Amino acid sequence: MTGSSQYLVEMKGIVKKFPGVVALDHVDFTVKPGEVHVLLGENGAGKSTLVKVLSGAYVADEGEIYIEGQRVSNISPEVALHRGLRFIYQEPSLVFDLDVARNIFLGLETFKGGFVDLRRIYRKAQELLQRMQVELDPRTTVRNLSITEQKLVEIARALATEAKVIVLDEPTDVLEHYARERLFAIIKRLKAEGVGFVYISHRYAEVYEIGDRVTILRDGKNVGTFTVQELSFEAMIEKMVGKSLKGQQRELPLPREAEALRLERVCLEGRLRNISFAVRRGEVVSITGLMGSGKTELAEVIFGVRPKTSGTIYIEGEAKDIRSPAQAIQCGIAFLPEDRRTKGLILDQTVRNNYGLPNLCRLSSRWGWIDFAAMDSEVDWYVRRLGIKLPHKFVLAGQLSGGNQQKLVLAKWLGTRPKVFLLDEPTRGIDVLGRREIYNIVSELARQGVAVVVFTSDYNEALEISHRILIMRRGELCQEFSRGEVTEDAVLKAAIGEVR
Amino acid sequence: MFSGVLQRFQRFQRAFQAILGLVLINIVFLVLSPTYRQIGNFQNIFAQATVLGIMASGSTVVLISGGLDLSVGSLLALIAVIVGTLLARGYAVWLCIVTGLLIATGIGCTNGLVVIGTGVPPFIVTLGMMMVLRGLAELVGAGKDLYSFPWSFRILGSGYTVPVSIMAAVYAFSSLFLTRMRAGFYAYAIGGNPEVARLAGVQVNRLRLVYYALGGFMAGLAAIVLTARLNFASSTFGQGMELNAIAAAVIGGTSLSGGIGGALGTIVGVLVMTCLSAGLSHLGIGSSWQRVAIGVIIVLAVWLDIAQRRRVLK
Repeated sequence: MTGSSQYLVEMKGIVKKFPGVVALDHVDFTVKPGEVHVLLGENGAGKSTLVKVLSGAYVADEGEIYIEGQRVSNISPEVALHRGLRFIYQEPSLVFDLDVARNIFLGLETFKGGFVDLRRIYRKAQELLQRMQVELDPRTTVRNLSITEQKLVEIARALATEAKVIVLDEPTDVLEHYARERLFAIIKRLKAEGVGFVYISHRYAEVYEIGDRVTILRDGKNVGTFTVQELSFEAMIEKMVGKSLKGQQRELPLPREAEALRLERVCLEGRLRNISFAVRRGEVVSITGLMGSGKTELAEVIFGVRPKTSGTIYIEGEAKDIRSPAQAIQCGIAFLPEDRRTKGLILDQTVRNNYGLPNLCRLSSRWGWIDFAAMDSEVDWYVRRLGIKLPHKFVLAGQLSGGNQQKLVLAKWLGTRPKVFLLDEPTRGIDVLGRREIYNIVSELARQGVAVVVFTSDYNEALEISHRILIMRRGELCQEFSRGEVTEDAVLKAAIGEVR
Repeated sequence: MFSGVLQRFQRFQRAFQAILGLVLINIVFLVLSPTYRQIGNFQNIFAQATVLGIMASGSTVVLISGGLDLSVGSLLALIAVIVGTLLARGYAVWLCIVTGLLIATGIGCTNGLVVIGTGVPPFIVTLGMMMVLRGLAELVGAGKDLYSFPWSFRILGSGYTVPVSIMAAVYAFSSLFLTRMRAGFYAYAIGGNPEVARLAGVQVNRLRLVYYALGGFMAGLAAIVLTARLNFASSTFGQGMELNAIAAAVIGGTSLSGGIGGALGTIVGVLVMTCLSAGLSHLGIGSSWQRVAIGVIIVLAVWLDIAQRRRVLK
């Protein structure tokens, strides 16, 4: 069976499942020659997964992939490369200590008399850069280039072997304004030569600047493919965020009077400016904003992972100088990190040992003798209470599913009886059911008088579980909403700021 | 329920495997060599295992915490000549021992400070210290005849009962330390993922100092037992012993990247290496072939360990 040959790439009905979550649900996606097709969606919508299926890093459970009309059944990185697909990710994959030309032709060198034909490499690199109208000396060491220039080198590398489709994953996340213009100019030039682009982004404004078509993913489904002309900004937002379901507004317990956490004019050099807010006992506050707005940095400052450069933090009314996680924990702060696999759990260790880690001082005598019986009973209690599914008692944390891992991280911190609980993207990579359970836990925490601060880029989530929503943009708190006085797209618009 | 038992077995799997290997080796030698079968042989093996065993228990703790100390062999030599010199000068035996242990612990601590303070990988720092300490040992021991020590000192190393009791005490302590004490628990965490440990409020750097210091202490204790047994002290002691100690730990299931291992496994690893040497000697096979054999065992043991871990974490 052949696909339509008007497309460079055609993906039909792609399904990809992971334990407990359907990452891609019958997704269709096409790329035409000479177009920039923007792939848009929130975190966890499935953009990266779709690209990984295309690159061969993941194998789809169902669905077909056609490249230039021909079915490709066993796509792998080698096959993708061979067929003209090139992938440029956020992290540069360049050898920093080699120069531009050597990087462009890495793995593609030609030889002359047993030695690498350097002259040819430099010549061809120069030609390629001229074709892209990029002014770069091919002998420059990559380490000395700016980030934009490094991205351009990667694009040159993609072209060196006649790329037909170039996939750019969040290319402008680290680029300044002028650099983006440069990148866009190159993309437009290459478009004219017939190269197709897949442009993954969460920056909505860029869709109109550079895109020809847009596909919006939400919860693993393709909710629509449109030409840029026919899609209004409001429609785009609505498709990305989705309608809020009735009954989404869960009952929240009333917050108490006493203040648990207060920040006054907290600054972090270069990242945070004049952050001031307060959270009462039993209150759930969400801090939301786009990626790069400074949410994680703020969480890290409160928890002592990074020292603040100025400002004061008060816990239960007392000013505290928090310079390390150990001090933060002593003040009654708990922190659930964004990346549970590398910062939340020790994957090689058992569930019990992971639980015990922050609670060990409490569970051992002054001389250091550990009371494992007490630890075991606490672990059992939390396993039951939070509904953590363990196949057997000696499971390693790395063997649990994402949702259960997250519950384990919650359990270990709950054991420290925190007064303030910071949660950074608590439902990332977790399926709908798992999310419900975590929201229930958050409500329960609030009921017990814990001040909860949720850092999230999921606006629906913020609306569902919090009393108040604070919007961060470029390191500052710019707006505050109370629950009930706001809708999702108002939140989103505030997070974006001015729209072009 | 049955799968639970299987998983519990898997946790001690590496130690069980090492024990299996130990038993197999012994069966082979018992069958092949008549002299191996004598009781005196086994007493000898245990006595021989003591010095390496003591040192290896310290290495185990350092490895579990994600660290590495290549200087303990040279440290052993330095402590040996220091203690020998003090004994030769007529100081009280207990004073010499305590001084030696304190200096050993202090040097271990110094290694830790340099590693933490400079951020240079422990491999390099302790490699450098290995040479520094060896040089110092040669300086301290130069031109001296350090032998013929008092009986009250020699008893620590002679015969079978005393050294083995010391080793047993060391392993009892290490085992308890690692399995039931807070600092030992933290060692696994720090070796497993130091960032997670730090975020959980663990004083990572302070504890790393403790582990290096412990490794130093064990090297010092090993020095004392060795000097007592041989009744002389030389700056040539312990060459390559740090590598044997690491090998013993690895054979016993301790991972070089940290977070996994235990005292039980290490003692088995020590016995594996000692039995192998003894058995090959009884069969008339020279020390060069013994080295070949041990090298092969080490690679096999680590290969097995890596292959299993890959399977478990699928």
